[in-house]
Amino acid sequence: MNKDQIKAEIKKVLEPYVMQKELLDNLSDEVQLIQDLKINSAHVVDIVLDIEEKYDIIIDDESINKMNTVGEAIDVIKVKIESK
Amino acid sequence: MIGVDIVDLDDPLLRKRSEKEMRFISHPKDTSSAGILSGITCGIIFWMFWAAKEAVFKSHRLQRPFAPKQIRIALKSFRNNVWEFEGKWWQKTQGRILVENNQVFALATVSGIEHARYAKYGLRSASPSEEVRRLFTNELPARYNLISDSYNLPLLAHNTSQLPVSFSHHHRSGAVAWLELADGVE
Repeated sequence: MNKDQIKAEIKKVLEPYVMQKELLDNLSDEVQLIQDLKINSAHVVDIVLDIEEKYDIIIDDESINKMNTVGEAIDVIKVKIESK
Repeated sequence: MIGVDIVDLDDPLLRKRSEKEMRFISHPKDTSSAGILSGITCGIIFWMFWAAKEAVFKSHRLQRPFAPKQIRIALKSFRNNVWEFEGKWWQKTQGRILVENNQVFALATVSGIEHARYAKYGLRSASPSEEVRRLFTNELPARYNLISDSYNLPLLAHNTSQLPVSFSHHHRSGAVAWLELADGVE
């Protein structure tokens, strides 16, 4: 699975949690997941759980701390998938 | 300084929390006094700790990301439907948690919790952040103004005084907490 495919799938995971849907248009790697997309912090764990379930991976603390931007999240997911 | 957090458990997007999800938020030294959580489900306990940690985080007004595992919470007592806690991040804080109407509400202060005041609101608009601010300012006496500091965090201004105020919103619930000025904001 390449980065573009993961990005498209992450966008679908994030979509329910983003109130202003237009923020998901042209989602760049630099976009901050929480601040830029204005996701309520109460949903941070929900998003991690959705990602874990979708890819059958476990996202450990160290990895969560590296997932600040879309690009960083893609990198973490890619590494986790490849190491399964 | 003061911080507030509210979690609306009616939010259909919230996945069920269990003991397993505590791994995302637990500090190794989080504690609760014996018996004060008896009868409370894991799901509610998760949100009690979450809200307490958010409130402690916001009370510090630091330009740092929210990292719940770095914030230590000690639930001390339960009286009159309120849990009292101590929080520790960069500074020690005191706080209170209230669970009612399918909401988990927490506030924390670095000092002077006896001067903490709060209000809760039901929200309807698609812009909850703006709505909770508008509802609060509509109730403020005219001599008070809601302003922002250089980090865009809210302050309550009255003459030459500026006091921290904290807002929170989630789903259809909003909350604000502030420290009472010397001559009172009621």
